[in-house]
Amino acid sequence: MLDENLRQIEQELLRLPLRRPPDSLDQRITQAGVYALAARRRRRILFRSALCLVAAACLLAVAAVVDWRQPGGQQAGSVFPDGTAYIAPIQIEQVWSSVATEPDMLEGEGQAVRVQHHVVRQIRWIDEARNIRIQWDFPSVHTETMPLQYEQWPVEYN
Amino acid sequence: MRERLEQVYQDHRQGLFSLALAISRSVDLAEEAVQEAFVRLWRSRRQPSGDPVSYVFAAVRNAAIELSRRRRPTSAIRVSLFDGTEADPAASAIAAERQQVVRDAVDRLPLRQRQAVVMRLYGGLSFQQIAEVLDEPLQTVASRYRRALERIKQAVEGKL
Repeated sequence: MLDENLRQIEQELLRLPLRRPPDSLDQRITQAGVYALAARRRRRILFRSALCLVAAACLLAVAAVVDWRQPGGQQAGSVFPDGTAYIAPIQIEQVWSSVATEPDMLEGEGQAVRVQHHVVRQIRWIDEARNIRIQWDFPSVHTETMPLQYEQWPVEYN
Repeated sequence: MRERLEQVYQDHRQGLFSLALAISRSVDLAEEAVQEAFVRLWRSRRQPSGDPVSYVFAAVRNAAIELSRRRRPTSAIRVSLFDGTEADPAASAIAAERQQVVRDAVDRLPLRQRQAVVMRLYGGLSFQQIAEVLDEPLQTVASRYRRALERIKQAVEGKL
């Protein structure tokens, strides 16, 4: 409890004319409210846009996973034809190599040449997850016989 | 929430401004501090957990302290809490002199005591509310307020 003297001081203090806030303060507070409201709206719009983007990204990711797991698509893990298991992602390379023998002159009804083509189709899988490389060779030989008059081989391999 | 804050502003406009002025000692900074505090309050999503009046006073106090630290008043003159132009024409010369001594004594109070006096007398806050604003025990706030009054009383007795 305050004594009488301090109460008197209190009363004197209450009687003192205070410096009043400038008239512009009300306007500034109102403006501040308007700006804050606008800022909050902007933040809400930004937040919703960000949410939409995240949702779209999630949908895309789900679609990609579904596609990944569909037959024919690259699977997250599977088995090669020889039974070797692999883990995606894998890289698939195909290499073709072709060697042709020297043309043999064929004697007979007419002059002709015969060429044997040795073609190797090589398929490689690289399993990055396990750092292994699997390779299959598919050799094939076929023979071309053609009249001598042809100067160009009719078969081309890329 | 916004309506509550606006209501606090309407009810305590003078007290909030006086508190900011007691800290910053500059009219411009005080005005800016009150505005800054309300901008922050409106932007904040936090709901006041306790008394909204204490919450707003605390926000204004923090803004005023921060602004005063960041930007010292350009003028060396420290503005008084009181309006010197409104002298009471009915007051006698002795009463006017006493009034001036009281004003000076309040303006010269240590910052925390000055804040307590302003919030108590010009903001109309209870000691409990002031304790919440200053984040101090109730007893500390009450004794600080008492010491402030004693100091003013001593200044008056010493001068007159």
